[in-house]
Amino acid sequence: MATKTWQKQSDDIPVCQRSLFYWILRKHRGIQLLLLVIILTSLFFRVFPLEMQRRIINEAIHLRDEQLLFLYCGLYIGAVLLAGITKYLINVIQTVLGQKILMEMRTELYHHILQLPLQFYRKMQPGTVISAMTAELNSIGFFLGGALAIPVTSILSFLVFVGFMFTLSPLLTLLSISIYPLELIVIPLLQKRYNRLNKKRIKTTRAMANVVNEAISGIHEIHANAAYDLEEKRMAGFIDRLYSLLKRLLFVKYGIKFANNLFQSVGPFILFLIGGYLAINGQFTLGALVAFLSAYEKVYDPWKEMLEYYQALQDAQVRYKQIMQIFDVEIEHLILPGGRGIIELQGAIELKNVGFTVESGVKLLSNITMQIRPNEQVALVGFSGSGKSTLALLMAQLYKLSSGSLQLDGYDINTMSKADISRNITMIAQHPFIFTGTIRDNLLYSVRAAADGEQEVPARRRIMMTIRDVGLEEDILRFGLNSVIPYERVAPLKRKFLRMRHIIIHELHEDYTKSVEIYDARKFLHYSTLRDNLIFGDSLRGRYTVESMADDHDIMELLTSTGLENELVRLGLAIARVTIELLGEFGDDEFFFRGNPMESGEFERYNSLVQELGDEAPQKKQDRTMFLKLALRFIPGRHNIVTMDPALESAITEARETFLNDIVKVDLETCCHGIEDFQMEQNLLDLPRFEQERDFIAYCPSEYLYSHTLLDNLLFGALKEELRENQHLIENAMDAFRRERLVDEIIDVGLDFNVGSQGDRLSGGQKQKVAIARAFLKQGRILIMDEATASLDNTSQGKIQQVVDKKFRGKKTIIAVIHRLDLTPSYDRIFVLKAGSIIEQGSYDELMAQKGAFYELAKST
Amino acid sequence: MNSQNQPDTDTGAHLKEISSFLRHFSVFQETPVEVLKLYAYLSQKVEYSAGETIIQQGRPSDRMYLIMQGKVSICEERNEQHFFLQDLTETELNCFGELALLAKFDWFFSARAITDVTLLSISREAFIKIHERFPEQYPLAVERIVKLRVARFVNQIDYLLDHLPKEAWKECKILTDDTTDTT
Repeated sequence: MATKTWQKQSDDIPVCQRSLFYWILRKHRGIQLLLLVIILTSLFFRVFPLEMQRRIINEAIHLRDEQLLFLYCGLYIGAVLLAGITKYLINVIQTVLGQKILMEMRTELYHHILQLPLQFYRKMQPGTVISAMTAELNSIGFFLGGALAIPVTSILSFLVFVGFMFTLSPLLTLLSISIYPLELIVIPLLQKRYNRLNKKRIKTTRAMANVVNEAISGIHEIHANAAYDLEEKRMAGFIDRLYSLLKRLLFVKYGIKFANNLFQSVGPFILFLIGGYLAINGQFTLGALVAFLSAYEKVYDPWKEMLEYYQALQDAQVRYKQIMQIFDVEIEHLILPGGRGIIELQGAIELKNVGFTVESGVKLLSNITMQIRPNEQVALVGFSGSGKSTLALLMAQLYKLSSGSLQLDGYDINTMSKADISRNITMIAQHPFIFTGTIRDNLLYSVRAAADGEQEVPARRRIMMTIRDVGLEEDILRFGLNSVIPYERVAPLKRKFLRMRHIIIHELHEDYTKSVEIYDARKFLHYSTLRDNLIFGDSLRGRYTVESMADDHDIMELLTSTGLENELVRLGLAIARVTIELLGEFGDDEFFFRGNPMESGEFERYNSLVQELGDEAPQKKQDRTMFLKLALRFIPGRHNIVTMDPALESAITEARETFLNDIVKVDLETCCHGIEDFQMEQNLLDLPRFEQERDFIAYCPSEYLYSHTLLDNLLFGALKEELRENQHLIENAMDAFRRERLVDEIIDVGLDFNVGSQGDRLSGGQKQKVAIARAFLKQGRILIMDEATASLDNTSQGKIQQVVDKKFRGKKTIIAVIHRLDLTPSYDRIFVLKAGSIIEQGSYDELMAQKGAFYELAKST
Repeated sequence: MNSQNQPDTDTGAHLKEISSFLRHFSVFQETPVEVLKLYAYLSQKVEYSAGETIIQQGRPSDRMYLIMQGKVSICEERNEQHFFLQDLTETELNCFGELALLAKFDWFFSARAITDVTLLSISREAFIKIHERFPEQYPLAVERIVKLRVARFVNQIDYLLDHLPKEAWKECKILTDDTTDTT
């Protein structure tokens, strides 16, 4: 659907060569006409009150006719009201219109920008593009809406008011507008200077955007080198420059304003002087003088508007040209083939005397001639800088050849559209880009991008297989296990997850009990926080968190009535005291707080609180809350800082029972039975539902704990020791899940892992594997791999090489740029490049037997 | 820096208990109280049941273990066979893995629980962090670890030589001939 629009526009003037008014006049003519009509109507309502003023004074008051006075006043107020309403309408329509045009401009410009050749972006800094596409366009949008209506309104109003004045007194009119031409000389002069400064300002802002952009992209380097000063200095230059430019810009701007005001005040001076003189001498009625003065005031408005419009137009033109100028580069290839269907290739590639020269004149490739048969697997090798990657990029149409010809199945690559290429060619870049989003989004990126749904979204089975092929399964499993899965997503899988939990608790019982303390409603849990011990569940709405418990009426009543509140505050105070005494000097080091319920950021607050209290017990509610929080976070089996009185354990377990039974109304019997049923391999029992309290999910074996990770849910308990490797248990569990075909569910969840900004949360290897999987999922006859596995370990490289060799054999033409020569033997043919030319070709054995450059290269690595 | 101005009255009994336990180990015999308390605070209790592997030869080392209770065997793995080197209990030579505090390496031996054991472990990270705060204590700690290591070495060599068949003996003729390669 979208593509059709683009096609139609290809007949138009290229985006970057259009004038600003092209956008304004091209569309929305109906709305613009409507706007004009409303403007004309509004004009009438603005002049009308002037006439009424004259008549009120000259007729109604003069003749002492009350009836007439009421009539004119009524008409006056009516006209003023209508003038107001029409003005409002004009503003609204203008703004909407302006934003609409801006939207079109932005959409079409972005469409153009995306298609610009890679070479363009080698020189263009991202900051410039971002600044142009966002802030710079915005300020034009403000102008666009009024671009037609404002000048028309102003000129018309000006003429109408002048005309009205003229009917009152031609002499006065001529005198009062005689100053205007002066302005026409002064203001453009100032404006010229303003424009010059404005251009500089735009350039400086862009340069600044580039510096910021680069600093953020290279933040690793900056932190690693502590290059803060260096970067700040780089930025400081631009900040200073921008300041000085803006200062000068504002001087000129207010200079223009000053000139305007000055001229405006001269008018009334002339009017009073001459009009007054005429009135005194009876050559002019008082009513006419009042109306004339009003008209003069009104006539100055459109004049001022015209001047302001002139300034805004100049400003917008400057900005617009600055934007369009940078993107005015020809697009090399059409998106869709005109007048034919998309080509389906067999995978033959033929190069004749291909050369590639960069703009500076350096020849990267010369005289490359090669023929690759469909389904042939070809390796391109050579020293760094030999041009092998460039050659691959030429075959993928990412670069445009400078000389010679490159044909795919006999079609000249230059005449092929982007759709032809993307249907048939898949490319894996050396440093692939990972988009912000989930792993799934990234895997399906190529498939989803295919126009018209020419490729179907791959079946789940294929996705899983590809994930295994590229060696991503382990990683994605881990992501899945560590996900907190949203409620809606759990619902269809709950049975399966509970089955997995059952396998772990029941079938792996021995390993399980060694490493996990199961959630048992009747027992005190040494490896869970006191909060978990007490609440033994979670609220879906986020009630009963450690932070909010002190404000929860039910909880506090329970704690107070059982005397626990006092005990817990005492425990919290003890934790705080011991921590402060022990870590008094290291309060800033996060490391020392790993085994402590206090966080390093809280140390200072607790420190001053404890100092304040001295030996006293805390009395104030807020102080008590602070210590209560510490106690609730305390994990007896893990936090070494204090030991807990065993009597407190049983008090907490009893309070838990009261809480579950009386406050959240969970049937403890059923909950506990659940465990036994669970371990006896009977059917899973759902808890009886208490709809009004369904917000609360207790740690019962038949419940999925929505606020916990999947792993927590499967383990259904707290790990006893962080040190002990539970890897063994998890590995065994995965084996069991595989047997029951449950593992794909976890992978499915893992695919929803959010990779962070540009894949920041993935390791280099993971990113590369995601990119490889993305390419493997795309159907296409030609696969180009530009050192695609270079950042992977040897085992992973070998594994992927095997997939290429076995699975793609006879199905795809493979072009692989390879650095590690031990991966080349499985290729049908190897081309050796040196300084932009092919110096050897043949199979691995042939080349080794030749004892030429390849042999030397292989020996040296 | 290490002067403790605070009165000692509020110290947790729990930390004191672990501290006095640590005091029994030769490595900590001369360690000042405030440092010892930090060790106690940063140590972690681990339990293993009989037969479990505590340290697997070849895995990266990151901590040392002190035996609170039970018996642990130290073995050397060679050609997929385990060779016994030493038995450790809570009374004598009651810790292992002490070199992990000083350097990063892959374990060159395995440790197995013979009975159910309770261990206290101290990580290299904790050791480093503590000595960042008390740098003057570092030389003493290193010396203690080296001495412990020597004692262990002597103990293991004694055992090996005691169990080496006579035929495998090679007499030391000259003072500076070859050195015996042991772990």
